[in-house]
Amino acid sequence: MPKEEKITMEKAVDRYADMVYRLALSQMKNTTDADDLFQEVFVRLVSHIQDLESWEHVKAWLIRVTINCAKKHFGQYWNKNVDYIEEPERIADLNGGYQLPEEHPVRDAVGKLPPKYRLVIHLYYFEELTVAEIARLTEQKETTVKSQMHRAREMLKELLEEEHSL
Amino acid sequence: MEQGRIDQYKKETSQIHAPEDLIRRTKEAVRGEEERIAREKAPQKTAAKKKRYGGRAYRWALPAAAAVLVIVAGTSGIFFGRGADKFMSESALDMTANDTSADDTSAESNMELQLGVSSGADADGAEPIGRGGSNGMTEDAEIYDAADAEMPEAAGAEMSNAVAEDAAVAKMPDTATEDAAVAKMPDTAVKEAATAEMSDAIAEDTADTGISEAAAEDTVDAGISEAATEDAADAEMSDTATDNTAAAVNGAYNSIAETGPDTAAADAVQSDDIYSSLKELADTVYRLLVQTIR
Repeated sequence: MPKEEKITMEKAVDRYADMVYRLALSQMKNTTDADDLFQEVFVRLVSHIQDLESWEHVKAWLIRVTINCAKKHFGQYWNKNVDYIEEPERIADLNGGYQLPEEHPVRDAVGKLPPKYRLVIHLYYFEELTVAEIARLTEQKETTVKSQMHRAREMLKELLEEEHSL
Repeated sequence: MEQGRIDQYKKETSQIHAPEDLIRRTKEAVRGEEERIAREKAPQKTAAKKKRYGGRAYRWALPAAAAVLVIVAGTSGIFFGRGADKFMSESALDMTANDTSADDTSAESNMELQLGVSSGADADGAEPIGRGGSNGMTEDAEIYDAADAEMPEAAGAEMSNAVAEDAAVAKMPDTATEDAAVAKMPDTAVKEAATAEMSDAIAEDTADTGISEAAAEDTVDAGISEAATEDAADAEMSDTATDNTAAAVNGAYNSIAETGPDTAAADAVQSDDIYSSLKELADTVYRLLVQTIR
């Protein structure tokens, strides 16, 4: 069995930057909050990285902390009552970064779902986690996750049909 | 969700990448956080060192010294107590062994005395009986004194039973001769005189071989008395008298043997008292030391 690469903060940021950013963006729906969440998560990792034994542990820790930080963000009064306007131009100006695709109908439809449904859809279909893993990371019962998945699919189907009909 | 939609969702999401600028800034923030944590830990280490070497160094030394002192005191107390115990027990054992061997000597002297009486009666009649008896007793006393001196003290106690048994067995064949000799005795007065001499000889033997007062009392209690001797004489040195004498001697031996454990038990109680008092003293010293340290 090959020896696993030593876990350092530099390598952790390089390895899981995209994963954390996608999850943060899917939860926050705007790049500003996603950026803040991204930094907060990795800064928190500094004081916990010595307790994590493998990269899988690091990945699970990052997903869980990103979800919790997002929940905490939406739990604040200000954030509950303010809606952000996406700024695609700003995002497109970032050199060497990413650009949102011009056409992203499914992603937009997912973005319209409530946060808890967005989360399970993202973790299940993009991160390819199992229902049990999602339940463990979100600290919910598996049946609850399955129920959320079912509801999310139904809502997504309706949204996509609406968009298609348009 | 349809597979096509799933693939499309994956494709759309996988086009999202964390901005390079954000990654760079995040790495800087991470480094800053690492430095901050390192700075926080460093003063703690320095403070811990100062705390350890700033007047509280070797804080463990005094309690350790006190503990060692207590242990040494306790250990020496135990050794002393056990040593005294052992010494006293050995003394008691020696006394018991001496008494036992002396008792055995007297018992066997008694038996030999009876044999001497019977042989004397056989050979010369009434007059030589007394002489034969006394000569036999004297010789027996000398022999058993020598044997007692040669016998190791510890072995003496163990051997006493065997010696007594051997003597009893050796006596058995002579019983018939003895009975016959007694039957031939013409004069009861002569017989009584011989019995009186025998009693005196027994008393002398007992004194010579060093039977203690307790042993003597036990022997008396167990039946070696003048009355018993007279009864034995009245019964014309019958087997019954001989058996009574042997039983009395055995009783005396047993009573003496029983005094050993009693003495040892008394010694143990005494040593326990010494040990407990030493332990209390050590505890008090330890408590005082701890209070002083605090």
